[in-house]
Amino acid sequence: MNASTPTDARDPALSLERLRADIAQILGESPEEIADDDNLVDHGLDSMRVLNLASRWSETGVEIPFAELMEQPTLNEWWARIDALQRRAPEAP
Amino acid sequence: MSSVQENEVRTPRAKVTPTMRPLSEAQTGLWYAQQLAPDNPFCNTAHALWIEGELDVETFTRAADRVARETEALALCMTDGDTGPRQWVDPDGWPRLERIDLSATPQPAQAAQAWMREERLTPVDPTRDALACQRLLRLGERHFVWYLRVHHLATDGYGMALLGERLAERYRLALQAADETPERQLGAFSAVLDEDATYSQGEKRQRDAAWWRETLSGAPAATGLETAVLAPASDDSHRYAMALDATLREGLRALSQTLGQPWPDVLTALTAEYCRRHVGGAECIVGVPWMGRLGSASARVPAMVMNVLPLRVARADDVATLVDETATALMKARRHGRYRGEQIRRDLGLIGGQRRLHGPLINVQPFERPLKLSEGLDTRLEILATGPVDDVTLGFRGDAVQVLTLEIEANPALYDADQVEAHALRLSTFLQAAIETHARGAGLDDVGLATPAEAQRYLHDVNATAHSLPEATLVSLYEQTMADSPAAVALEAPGCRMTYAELERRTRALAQQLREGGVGRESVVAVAMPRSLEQVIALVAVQRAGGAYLPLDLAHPDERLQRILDSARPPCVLVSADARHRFHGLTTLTPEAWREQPTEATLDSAPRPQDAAYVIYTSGSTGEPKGVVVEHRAIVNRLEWMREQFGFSSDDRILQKTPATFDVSVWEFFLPLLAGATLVVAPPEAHRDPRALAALIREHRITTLHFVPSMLAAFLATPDTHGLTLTRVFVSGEALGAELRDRFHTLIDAELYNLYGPTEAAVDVSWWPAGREDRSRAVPIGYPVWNTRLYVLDARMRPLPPGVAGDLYLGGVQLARGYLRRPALTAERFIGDPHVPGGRLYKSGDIARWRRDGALEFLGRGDDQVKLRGLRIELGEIEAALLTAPAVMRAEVMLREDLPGEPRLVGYVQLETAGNEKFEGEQPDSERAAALRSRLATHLAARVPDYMIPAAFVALESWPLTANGKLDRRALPLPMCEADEGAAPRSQTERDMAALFSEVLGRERPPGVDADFFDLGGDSLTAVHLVLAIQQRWQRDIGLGAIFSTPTVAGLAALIDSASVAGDDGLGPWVRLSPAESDEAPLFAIHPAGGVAWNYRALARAIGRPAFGLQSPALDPEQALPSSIDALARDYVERVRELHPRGPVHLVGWSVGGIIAQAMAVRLRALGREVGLVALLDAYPAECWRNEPEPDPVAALRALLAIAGHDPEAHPELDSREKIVGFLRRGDSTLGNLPEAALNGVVRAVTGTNRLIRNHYHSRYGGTLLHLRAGLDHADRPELQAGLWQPYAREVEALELPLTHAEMTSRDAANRIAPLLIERLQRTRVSMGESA
Repeated sequence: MNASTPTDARDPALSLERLRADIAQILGESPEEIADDDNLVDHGLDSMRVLNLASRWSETGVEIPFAELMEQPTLNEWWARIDALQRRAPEAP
Repeated sequence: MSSVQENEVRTPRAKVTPTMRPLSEAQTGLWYAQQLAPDNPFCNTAHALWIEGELDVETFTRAADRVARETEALALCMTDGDTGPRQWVDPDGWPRLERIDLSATPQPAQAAQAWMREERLTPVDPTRDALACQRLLRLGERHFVWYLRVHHLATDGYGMALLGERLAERYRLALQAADETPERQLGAFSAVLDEDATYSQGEKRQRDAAWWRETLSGAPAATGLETAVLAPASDDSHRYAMALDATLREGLRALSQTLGQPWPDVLTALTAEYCRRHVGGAECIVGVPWMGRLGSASARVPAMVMNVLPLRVARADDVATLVDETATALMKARRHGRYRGEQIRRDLGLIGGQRRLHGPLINVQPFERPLKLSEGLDTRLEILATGPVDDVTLGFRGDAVQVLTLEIEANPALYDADQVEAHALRLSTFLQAAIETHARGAGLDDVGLATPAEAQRYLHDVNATAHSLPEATLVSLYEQTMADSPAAVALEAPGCRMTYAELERRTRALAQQLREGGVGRESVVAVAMPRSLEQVIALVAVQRAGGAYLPLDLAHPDERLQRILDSARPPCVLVSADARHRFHGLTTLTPEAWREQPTEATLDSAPRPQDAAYVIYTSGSTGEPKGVVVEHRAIVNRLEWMREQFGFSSDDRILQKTPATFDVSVWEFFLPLLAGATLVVAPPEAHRDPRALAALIREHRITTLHFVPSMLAAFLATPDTHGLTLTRVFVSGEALGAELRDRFHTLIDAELYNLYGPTEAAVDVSWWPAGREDRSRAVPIGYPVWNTRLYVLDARMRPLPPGVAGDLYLGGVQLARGYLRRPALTAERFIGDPHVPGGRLYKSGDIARWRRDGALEFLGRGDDQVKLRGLRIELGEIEAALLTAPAVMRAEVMLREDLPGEPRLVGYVQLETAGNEKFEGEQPDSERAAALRSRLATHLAARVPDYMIPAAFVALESWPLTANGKLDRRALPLPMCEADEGAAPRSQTERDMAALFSEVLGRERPPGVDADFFDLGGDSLTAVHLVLAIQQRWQRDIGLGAIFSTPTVAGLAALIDSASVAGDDGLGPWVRLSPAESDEAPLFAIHPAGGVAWNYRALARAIGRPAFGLQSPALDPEQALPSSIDALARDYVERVRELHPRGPVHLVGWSVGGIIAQAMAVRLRALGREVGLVALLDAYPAECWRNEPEPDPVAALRALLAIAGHDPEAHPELDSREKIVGFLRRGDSTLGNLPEAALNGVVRAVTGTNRLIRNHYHSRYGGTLLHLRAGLDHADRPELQAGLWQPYAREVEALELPLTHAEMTSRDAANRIAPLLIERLQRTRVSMGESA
């Protein structure tokens, strides 16, 4: 879903700023409005959008578990998990 | 349950004193809802997991018990404390899984359904009963049901799903290894409460409150999909599920992809648009559930967290805009999603039965997965109940890839099963069409609402009215009658009559005269005469000469007559001699100059069916009246239909009382002539005088007559009219109320028909039999007449489904030709029929909707035109006339109904400064207003008919505007000064109290500190709401009595601020009814059967002297009811002596209260006390009831229904105490809102007092009884008269009022009765003074 977004496939790997930009886009805000520790629910985030973000980010080859994103929806928390997953992930075949 | 499990699950825990905690805000809302309706199980949520396969029952039981034990919410206990409700977790209070074996029953699945239904419908008292229960029902070797029922206070739907998943997880793990436990724990319930407490004390909550207030300012009123009167949520909703097909699912996902919005938001947006189409406004307000779990401590906690947020969705041009705007609105709403919907409702003052925050609920659940226990087990989760459904929930469950199910839940009080199914079909069709429309690149307006089957039915099936008619004209038809029955009486008036032969001769003579004067086909001849035989002769003669008559009302001002004459240019005016001078310059012919004997010449210009028969002018929006030209074939269809439909014959005697300028008169004039019946002409002005009419009807044996509903109401209010017998009565001209219909049938013996139609369609195009058995709450305008089509269309001329309001279009043979000499206007209002080739339509300007039985309901005007007492008024015409008054810059006229049943026109003007000054200066407001009124009314009187002159005028300096810059009519001020309400609130308590007043009373502005709750429109029902609101705000139960004795903002605030609040529940031995304090002798009002005396409040206040209500001891469970009425009267007299030790007293009693009052009067006299007035409000002596069968307790209880304002006859199903009390609880009545103890007291009073009455024997009272009879009741017992009291009093003064028994103490009745009592109270003071 949302395959044709401007941030799509720009980077081979995910970065904090890519996450921020995607989150901002899906919330209809600008990236600078999303602070690292903001509870994203206070920006109007809902589970369906979390799922969409997870599947969008999984297209980079890293399997992002949706359930984990649900627990603490802040940019920092997500980046910490995704960053760890990316480092661990083997190169895509 | 085996002992093994018992030991296992009861693992001892450290015994600790449970922590008592307040309820969360989410729980508190439900707590009060449940408190208000303790017998209603609507807060029970439940599901059933149907299991098929090899279930390991022991393992399952262990898993279920473990889940229950780890879920604190399932072990909650609650209690109501001084500071509001509290809760704690009872470590041992979790629900064990018990097993029930149904496998031996003949049909185990049905038995399981029945068992679960009964369990789920058992009310739960949260302070006493366990909040949760789970069972494993065994249906057979391989069939089981896991049933879980939890009170909504303990969990929401999300929590229920968590519990199901947790059980499945534990079962799977336990199958692998008995002591395997899941990796992750469920969260702690206390964390949910902590989070709630943090929020409710934090700043965020304040910001959220402000945001919601701003977001919802100016929001439309919330309504459901069907416009039934809102009823409280039921315990057992209709449920209907429908799988949405792959085409729709794929289309939805594709649309979501194109629009870049998640598909649940797309679905919410389109469904909201579906709701908006039903409501019909520019926007609608729906509810969306918000689970509150994301990023919250409650993410893994079964608990009640869910909130319902109001969502405004406005009309949009295309799907993309609609979805974008909705998604944005949802996004913003979620940012403030913690703020409780119930609180928003209170913030906005939407308190009370019909005032809601949102309409339908739209609930998209994209994460719903089938619950899977283990391989080898087939499972199906059935949701049995999800909590209260106020109106309707439009739910979608599924991932939209594999599955998407539309699930509708509806309140059965508002929707029946067919309607629910129809909505499922219509909504799915609408969604599909909206998706396709967007794919085509078309706008949202391209999507219609009706399904193809609905379109077929409501365009064509309901309009199958073809009926063949001869090629005839009115003239050919009545000439036939004249030839067939020359000796029959054609016309009659007091003191004279005329046969058909005579009528033939006179009209032929005048027709010849007119013909010689140049009148022929298509000539328009004006007739300006009062009602008389001559007037009838004139109308018939004009038509026989070939022309069309144009009636003129001599009561209209010259200026208006002139404009009509300028437009119609009649060659001749038939006018009575005394009005001839008003037609200067025109050819006039007065009756004195009419030829009486015809010549030999034949009338050579008989009209053809397509020639004009009459021209009637109606009010025009630009200020210019417009002449409607109706042809013979149109009116012949109307009259022949009427003659045949209602079986008119030569025996009928039809009253002509409608002014000829009003088109109803057309059938009054001509139907008798077609049927060979007698036309009885009422004297001029008789139509305004009910007594004269009643005499006329009796004297002339009228069989048929017509009323405008408001005139019918006035007619019925006059006792002379009661008991009349007629064949049929027709009403039209304005909406007929159900109450008026029913009153008609209790007082008059006749059929009643409701007709509808504009002048532009030959009088009437639809009819409805509003007979004795008609129970329609909104009386329909009914079915189309012969050869007539009625459409309810949307703005794009597409048919609308039943229940949806739209523009009413009329088609068929009865349509007028058009407006005389106004081709542009004719082309605008008479248009082509898009649904029938070659057809014509007239846009009525009325709003209507179909009922499912093919009858139409009229809803009002769609434009500026209004009707006042049956007369059609274009506000524009009055405004145009006002603008010609000196100094008036801008004028708006509005029909207001500030008091129900009392519509009036109010004119708003903006005056030039120069003109304004004349009315300012030193004059007080009232004088200035009077001067303005007199000046403008005088000006209008010369220009418009008297019924178009506003009753009040308001001068404005600026105009209130809506957000989009239009005049905000709703914000135009009331045309009177507000009562003096005292200073603005001073302390925080006063400010809060004033806010609660406005909240409960639905006022926009908080009242001043001295404002009296009851003067502001409060009644005992809203008083109950105020008590509850105060309880919620300050956790103090001040009791109803406090509101009665201290009804001001300042008084109640002081009570709250004072340390001790004595909870006066208003159920004590007496209540103070009036704040009046003086030395005048007090009035004591004795309770009716229900035992409470609050109902006398309006009357006592209108009388304005000190007044007390005496109440039954039965209200107190500790008190026994005395053994006789005399003993009761003795007790009450003791109370009187305590409250007022010496001096005269006055008594009033309604119903049973009257019986007691008489007994008290006897007793007071015996004690030597002076008794002044003894007023009996529709009370009758005890022997009237003695021979009536003793009512069984249930019958006595059913009387409560009447006391609460319901019709007991309409509810035969309420045949037990529980059902009756439950019904009252669900309704928004004073009784239904009483606390349990109080309602029990009322029940005791009703049953107890009834018994005493039968055993009572009256003593004679040596004074005068004043009796006020409810004249609108007792049709079945006419012997109930004041005279029955004669044996028990020295004198009985009898008065009769046009009221029903039930309304004798209502606010309206108080205004009628109070002056009568005041006058007599003053008189008794004089006579007592003399005797002293």
